[in-house]
Amino acid sequence: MITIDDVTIGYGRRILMENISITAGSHTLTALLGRNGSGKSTLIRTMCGLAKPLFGNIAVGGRDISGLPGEETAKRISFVGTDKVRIPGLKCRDVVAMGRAPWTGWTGRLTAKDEEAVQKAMEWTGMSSYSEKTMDRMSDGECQKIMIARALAQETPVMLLDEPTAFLDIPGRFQIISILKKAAEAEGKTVIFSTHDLEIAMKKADRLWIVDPPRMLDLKTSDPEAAAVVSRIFRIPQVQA
Amino acid sequence: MKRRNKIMWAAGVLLLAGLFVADMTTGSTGISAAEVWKALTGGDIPAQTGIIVKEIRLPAAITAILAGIAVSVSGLLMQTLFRNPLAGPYVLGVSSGASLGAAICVLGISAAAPVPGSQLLSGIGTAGAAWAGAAAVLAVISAASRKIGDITAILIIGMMLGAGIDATVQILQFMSEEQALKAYVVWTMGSLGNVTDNGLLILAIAVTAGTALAAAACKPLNLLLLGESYAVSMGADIKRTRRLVFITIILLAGTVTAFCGPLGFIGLAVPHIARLITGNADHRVLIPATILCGAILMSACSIVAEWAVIPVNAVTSLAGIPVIIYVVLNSRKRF
Repeated sequence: MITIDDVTIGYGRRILMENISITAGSHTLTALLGRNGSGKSTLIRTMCGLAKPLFGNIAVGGRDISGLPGEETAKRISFVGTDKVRIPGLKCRDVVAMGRAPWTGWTGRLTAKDEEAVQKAMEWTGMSSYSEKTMDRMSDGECQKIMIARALAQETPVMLLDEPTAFLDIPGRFQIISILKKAAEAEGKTVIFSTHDLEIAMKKADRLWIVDPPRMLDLKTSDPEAAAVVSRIFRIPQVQA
Repeated sequence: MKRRNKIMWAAGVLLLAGLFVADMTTGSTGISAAEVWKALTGGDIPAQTGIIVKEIRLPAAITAILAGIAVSVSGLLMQTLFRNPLAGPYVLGVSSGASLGAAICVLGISAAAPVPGSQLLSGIGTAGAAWAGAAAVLAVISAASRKIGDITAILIIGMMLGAGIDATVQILQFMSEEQALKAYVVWTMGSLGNVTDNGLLILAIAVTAGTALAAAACKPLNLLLLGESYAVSMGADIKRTRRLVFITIILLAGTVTAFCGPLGFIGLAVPHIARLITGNADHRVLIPATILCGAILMSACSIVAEWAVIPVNAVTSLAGIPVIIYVVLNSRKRF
């Protein structure tokens, strides 16, 4: 469970969201929707502890993350960003194993338990056969799955993803979101992803967080009102769930 | 470790040992490998040959290995920290910064009044000045890279900084005494043979400490391969890592530049050679591989420089440049 308590985010004098209080529970896949520049990425980065809120607190399982050492935050929250990772010679398995960083010692040596978590994450994402492949020789969709496998291997109760389906074709998008849905349902994780893909959000997510600057709306996807709110904020015809 | 890897490591160590001996046999006086062995083990050889081997060739061969390790490891660290395949102490101006520090020491202070105290103090003085110069350039490059993020722009800033510093050094040269100027010009050509015993001691300590620090940072360095945000999200303490890596680069690149002059392009090329040979990006493999490749390449450069009687800086540039061109041609999509 992740709780945003009276949080204000923005840059300098520009306020993007003001006094947001919202909670995402376990077993829940939440889609974060909003126009370009509405502060979705900033909110995700703030929730991960990568940026500081101008005001307010973020807590995971009742523990405020601002006072936590980096490694402790990393045991609670994993993150998938928009940066493309294309390092020559970097094997998929090594990338997924990096997810174990908060749990390993100073050399990063994996124990049997860590190996198991890495293996499981690769299987979950359907990437087991890619372990020896290097990241510079894979498609965008495959790379994204590896980055998600890495976040799964981190074994955190909360997973935050910034536009995980950008750059992907339609089947690729559904695959990625299905993996996230499975992580929320079967593993009981709190999964939040930002997206511009309204259709996928309406069809797959359990809840919608919609940025309506400077506020945030929290709706169930099954709520009959949800489609109307989305169409009003995005000024488009109604999208059906 | 896989069988192939074991063979590669063993072959590398043997090659280095061979080059180390060859390095001691190469020079203006012809000395055979057998004579070198006798000189080192206290065998029966002419006294003069013993002196040449023990007091000139051996320190120079050790310096080559230490210098190769230092510039190569600092190049690897810079490439990871700046996420820039073309980063290196020479290209980004860190060597120039160290040169300026050393130049002020050699041309300015020493020319006006020789540094009081022992030779060791004067060695530390030159090293300290080079460290300060390297640190200043690294601070500027680091601040710029955090603001800009574009690797081409950072390379250009590094080169401009290097050029500006070189110009300043030229002014210093123009204004200095003839004797100091000659010493400085010889130094800029790079030399592995002019390191005094005390210099070698400082170099050995700095390289040992620097590589130990680099090894201690291998976990966060691996995380940094994915970028700063990812590294932080996986628990890396970026500020601490950055500090640690900066100190390491300053120790390694600064000290070598102070004692051996700027050794161009090795620092940039060797990490790529290590990546190509190991096919790995993991620093737990890359740091030892870079150490071994750096020592091998610099020993080879030292032999060529001795054999052809040319400045070692010219040899390192000629050896490093083809590797760099290869990297640029093979990683175009990353620019």
